[in-house]
Amino acid sequence: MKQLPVVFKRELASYFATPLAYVFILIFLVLSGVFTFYMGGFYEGGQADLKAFFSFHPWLYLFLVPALAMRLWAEERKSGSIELLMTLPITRFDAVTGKFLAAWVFAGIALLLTFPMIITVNYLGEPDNGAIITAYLGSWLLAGSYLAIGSCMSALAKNQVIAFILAVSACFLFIVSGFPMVLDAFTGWAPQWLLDAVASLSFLTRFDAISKGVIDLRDLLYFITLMAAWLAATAIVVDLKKAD
Amino acid sequence: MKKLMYSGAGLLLIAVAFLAFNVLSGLTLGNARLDLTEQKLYTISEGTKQILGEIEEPIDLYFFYSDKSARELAVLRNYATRVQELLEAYERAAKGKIKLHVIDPEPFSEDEDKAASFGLQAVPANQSGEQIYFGLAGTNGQDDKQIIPFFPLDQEEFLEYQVSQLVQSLAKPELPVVGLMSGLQINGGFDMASRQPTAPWMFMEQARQLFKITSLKIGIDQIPDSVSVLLLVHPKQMPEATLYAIDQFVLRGGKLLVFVDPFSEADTGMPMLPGDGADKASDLEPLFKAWGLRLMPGKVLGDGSYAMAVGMGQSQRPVRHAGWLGLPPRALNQDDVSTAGLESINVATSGILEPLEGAKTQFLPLLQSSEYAMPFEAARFGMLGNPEELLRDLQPTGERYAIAARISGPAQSAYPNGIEGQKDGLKAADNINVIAVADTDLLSDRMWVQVQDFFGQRMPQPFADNAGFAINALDNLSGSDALISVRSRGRFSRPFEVVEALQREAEAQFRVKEEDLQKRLGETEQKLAALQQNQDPSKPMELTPEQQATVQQFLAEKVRIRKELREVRFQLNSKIEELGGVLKFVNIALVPLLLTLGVLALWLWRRRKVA
Repeated sequence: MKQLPVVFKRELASYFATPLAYVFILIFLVLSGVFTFYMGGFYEGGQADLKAFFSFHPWLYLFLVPALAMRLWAEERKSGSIELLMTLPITRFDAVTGKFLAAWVFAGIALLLTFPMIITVNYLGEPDNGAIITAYLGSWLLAGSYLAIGSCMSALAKNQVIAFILAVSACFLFIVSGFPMVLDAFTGWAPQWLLDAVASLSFLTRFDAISKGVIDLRDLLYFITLMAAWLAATAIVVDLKKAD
Repeated sequence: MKKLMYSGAGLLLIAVAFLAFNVLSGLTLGNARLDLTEQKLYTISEGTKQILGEIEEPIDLYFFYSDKSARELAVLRNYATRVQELLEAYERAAKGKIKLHVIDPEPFSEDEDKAASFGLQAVPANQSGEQIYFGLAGTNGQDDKQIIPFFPLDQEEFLEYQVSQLVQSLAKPELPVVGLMSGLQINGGFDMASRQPTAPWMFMEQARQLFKITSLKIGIDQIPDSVSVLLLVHPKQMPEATLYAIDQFVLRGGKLLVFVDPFSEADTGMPMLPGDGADKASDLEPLFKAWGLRLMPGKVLGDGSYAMAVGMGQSQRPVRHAGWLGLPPRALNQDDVSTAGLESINVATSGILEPLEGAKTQFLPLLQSSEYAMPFEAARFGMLGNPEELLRDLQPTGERYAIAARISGPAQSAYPNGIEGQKDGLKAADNINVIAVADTDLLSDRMWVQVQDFFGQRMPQPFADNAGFAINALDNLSGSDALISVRSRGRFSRPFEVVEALQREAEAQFRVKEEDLQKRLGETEQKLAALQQNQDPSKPMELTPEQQATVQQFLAEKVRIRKELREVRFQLNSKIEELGGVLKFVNIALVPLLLTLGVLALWLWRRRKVA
């Protein structure tokens, strides 16, 4: 636990040492703006809220966050630095959590840089800023969940591209689990509680509720436990694969 | 143990624990939520709590929801969860006075029969013909029942109002008493021309099914205490004592739905002088003033956008009448329970309501004109030959005028010193509830319904929602203050005010230019017509070369003016598009640009430092 801040600082600093991080932020900002204005029709909609902005986040993150997460462990494994990391006096918990937190804070910084949207919507009308703040929190939790999944996938694969593809696929499953096409596969044989459980795994329904402006304890716990579970899985995978 | 954790089994354990935790938390942790919306849209309001606190006899609520049939409909499931949680919150807040039963009416079960017997509506879930029930029924100790046949998915903002209204009508089951005071023969009367008795207006027949109607004579000096809503239609030359009675009624918490009119077409009273339009006018001036509003005196609303086509008799084409308006959904306030969801309301020579400056009361428009509207002199309508001349004279002011409005908030008495013989009445009230409508004709049958005589039974076939609006308003007003306050919580529409202002400004500019150009176009056309009229019709068209040249010149001028007009119209939205462009740039490119510059600067700085 003591070494966690050390890992966190080292990792966060490493983001800003490479141009890759800036490219990530640039792509995120440009895409979120383009989606909001062109696909979401924010300006034409004439409503002072950020629905058009947030509704694309689950899909935007689906490709961007795994890209951010893919290097977390795969790189260390490929370059062999993981062995060095394992010999250092840090626990696996410190390493996994520190790396994750650094990436999460980095994603948070990217999210905060969309602040012109808040200014814009406040300039144009009188939005419900309470709901906007909650939606930002929801979006950040969503990014964290994608990151936790991506972190585990990165630990699984030596190759960053494979880690990326695995993470996108896993995250996609979590998005669509509330969709009829998935639920259809369960109807007919599965009991209702299982169907509800599968539907309740969906990022979309959870994120929807939060972005309306209501923080439900269940939604909050869902995101937190999801992150914790995937990070625990990361630690196990790192341990299992350290010999590879 | 540690070894077991760090293995494939450990992964499985984590997955199972995660799933189990979330299934359990979904089942056990109900309603632990933090509502951060500005108006606490997802929390039970004070109004509802008050209604629940006043329940005397226990109420049973039956929530019918076809859980199994709706298993694939995620949107419906989400909303059903929300409804159920809200109902559970009601049950908790009512402290034992409400008992909630959640029922999944399976096909061909007793529960399904029960749902059907309550009158709930089932909708088909899929092609296989499965039905979904998603409604609420409530009963009280006296076996009164109230239902919400199906929760409409697009009316989430009124969910609490709907449920609270149902609960209240069960808690206080007697029909609300509506006092009717009317200057028109709304309840049926006698037609002098045909010497036949006339039937009551269809609106009254519908209202009678939902309310206990008591007729009150104009001239009474006290509104009975039993009356909860006063329906006042076409108040004209009312004695001061009656005005005072209404004033006191409203101040002591009575609700008022009032229809006034600058020119009531339904008023068949003979004018004193021919063309004396003012005789068909009604007003409640002294009271309106005390409540912070006024009916624009002697003015009728003309609207170019919403003008209805009216028949001009046989073998004549119908023409558009700028004083007869068909109001579309955009003209109806979609955030108010009395007008939301209605499709169209027709009004005839309606007036204009406006808030007075400095009024303490809230003025919430319910029906509004379009931007292409202006006030006309009411006197014009008394001898209006061809309605088309209205459209021709219409010079839109760009303002949206209110035809109906809800007035609430603190108000003073119009007679602070009382009146002769009644000195010590109420002087003020913290909150009054008034809905004022500036048209009486919208209640008359010809504006909204065709009545067919079917073997002696009068069958209404409505073509507009006029009665829906009036009944909704009565229904809303007949609830308690607490219930009315539930309505006013939500603010779901948050328009871009800046853009709207730009739009208004651009339209005003456009109109100035348009008028100018239209005038020139008119002049040119007139000259052209004059040139052609000088021709002798018996002779074939022969123009001197000079005349021909003039005609050509005029035609060219006409084309040019038309083009200019088109261009002006095209420029109308340029400012709005410009602003949109700037905002797009700021949100898409500005921060990335600044960031890039920053990174470049940092890079250069570092390089220089190294060098």
